[in-house]
Amino acid sequence: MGLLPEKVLNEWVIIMAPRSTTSPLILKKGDITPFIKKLTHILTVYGPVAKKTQFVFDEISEGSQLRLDYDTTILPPKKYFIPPQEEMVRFSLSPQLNITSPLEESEEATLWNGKRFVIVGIHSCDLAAIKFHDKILTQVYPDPYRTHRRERGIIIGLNCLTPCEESFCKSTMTLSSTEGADLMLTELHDSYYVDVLTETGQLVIDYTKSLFSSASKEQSKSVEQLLTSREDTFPDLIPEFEKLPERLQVGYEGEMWARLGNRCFGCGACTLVCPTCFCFDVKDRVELDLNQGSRVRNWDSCQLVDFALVAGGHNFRPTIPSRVRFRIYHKFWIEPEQIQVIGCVGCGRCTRTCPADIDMIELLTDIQEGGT
Amino acid sequence: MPTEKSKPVVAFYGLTCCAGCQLEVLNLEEELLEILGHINLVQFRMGSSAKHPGPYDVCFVEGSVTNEAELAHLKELREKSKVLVALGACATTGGVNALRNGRNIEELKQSVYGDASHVRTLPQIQPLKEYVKVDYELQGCPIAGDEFIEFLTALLTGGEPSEKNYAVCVECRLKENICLMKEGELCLGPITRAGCGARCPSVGFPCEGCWGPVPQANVESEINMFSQKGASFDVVVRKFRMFNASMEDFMKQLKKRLDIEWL
Repeated sequence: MGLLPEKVLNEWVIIMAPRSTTSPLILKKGDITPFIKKLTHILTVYGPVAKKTQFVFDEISEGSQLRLDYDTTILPPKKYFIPPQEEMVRFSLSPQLNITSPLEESEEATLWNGKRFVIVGIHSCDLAAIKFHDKILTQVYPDPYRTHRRERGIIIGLNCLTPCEESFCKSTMTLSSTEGADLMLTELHDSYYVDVLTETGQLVIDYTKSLFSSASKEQSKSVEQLLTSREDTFPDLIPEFEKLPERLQVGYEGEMWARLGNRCFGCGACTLVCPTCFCFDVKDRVELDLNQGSRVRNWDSCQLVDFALVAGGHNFRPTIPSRVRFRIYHKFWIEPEQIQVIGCVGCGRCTRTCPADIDMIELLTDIQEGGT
Repeated sequence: MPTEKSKPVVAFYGLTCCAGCQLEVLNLEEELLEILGHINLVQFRMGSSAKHPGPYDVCFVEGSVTNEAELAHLKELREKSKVLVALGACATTGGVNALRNGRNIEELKQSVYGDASHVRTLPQIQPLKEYVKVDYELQGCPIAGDEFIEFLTALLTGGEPSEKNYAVCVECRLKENICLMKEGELCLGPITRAGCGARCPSVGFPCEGCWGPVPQANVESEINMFSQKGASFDVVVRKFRMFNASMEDFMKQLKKRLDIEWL
């Protein structure tokens, strides 16, 4: 197999993008509320908000709803680029078949015509996942629907300063990803230090200019220190992560899969919350007037029994163990072969959500130790 | 607009149950008129006292077969209907009616009725498909209105109604519910068929399994997880039997693990 671990590594290094080229800015925490208010005048604003004991990305109308102190969210921000349920075309059957597509919208999306949206506070792991989709959903499986939304999305990233439970982003080398973000925030005492990474980011700054001041040299230095110190504070929970593809090639029929399969419910929760999973199923739906309808794609999961079921009734992965194994091989072998990037960003959502308490760190460590 | 004659003849019947599934259909107030534009509804006791002897194009049957008379009625409905649809938990898993399964029926009758010599009942409750050919099943206690509409539209447009062969967990994640299993609760979501839209977990109640088992339900793992959460033997059995006491795989696994004679 033509897998090159070095190449995988390089790709992540590229994703760990540089800091801003223009001079960094400061946004006082107290100015988050007017900043969000101003954004809502021209954009739909999404960000992390509290949901009982956890957090979710949701639409924000008031800055006070925004919880930039969140650890992680139940679903990743991919839901804004690939919605769980999305109309691909609308149709009516009579008087004659008429089909329209949301992609035919002629008006170009600008910052000013209400067609764009901004997601505030995306962590580095999720930024890496967005980059991952940018790559695989243009190079391997071009997806015009996702591209349509991606072009309309503005991303304000947020550097993580403390590791969150179940995550292993240092091992996946996604801890310092900033590429894909238009602005990148770093919490600094009573302020946010702002790196402007793109032209779109600059447009947002220009629009809300009065709220920002220039960062001082000391502040830049503090941020630099904060970010570098993460090398010590974030643990490397899965050493030699980039060797996983190679190690998976050793064994395929190991008892590990049966053991995992006995425990796994095949419920698909891990894939739904995964920021890099992108599989979908397409269905036609006719409305009750029996005339209008739509072709809808819904998130699907390789863990579900119908996923690899084909015409004639054959199922390529008929058992739970075979599906669990497929998920791991797809992320850690097939995707690296396709786009030279491992399909896992270390966010730990799969572990946090698994009703059978399957732990991704344990599972990958088993593979590293030759346990397949 | 189709004429009355060209519209499919549709009937609803209830066997032993609370009639809550037919009530769910009646509750589709927004959509009922539009539905009636497409079907010739000839028998629906929630909306009309009119009766129709059949034959029917589509016959919805809710409830369980609890005695010989109901069994004869079900067989008759089957003969009169092109398409027979089992409606709701009682008809698809036996529902709460099946709680009697495995118990001594004479003792149960005695404890409920005292002198029970006039009560004629079958000792076991089975899904309708164990007695007659059932073309489709709509699960739930009660059924979900949106699933009913989706099913009917598929049938009316000549499509094949789709089955949700996945667990409640999918619907829970899409609603971004906090996983109740992770919170230490005993939730049947991971082994229960989706379709309810995670009705109970969305308001903080663990799933009771009323949509019946998901295909390939990993019952063994569920029992393990429940035990890990400190659930007693008694609680696990009750939880599993609530809506699924007639589901052989569930009971077989319970028997194997918990060594209970009477299940």
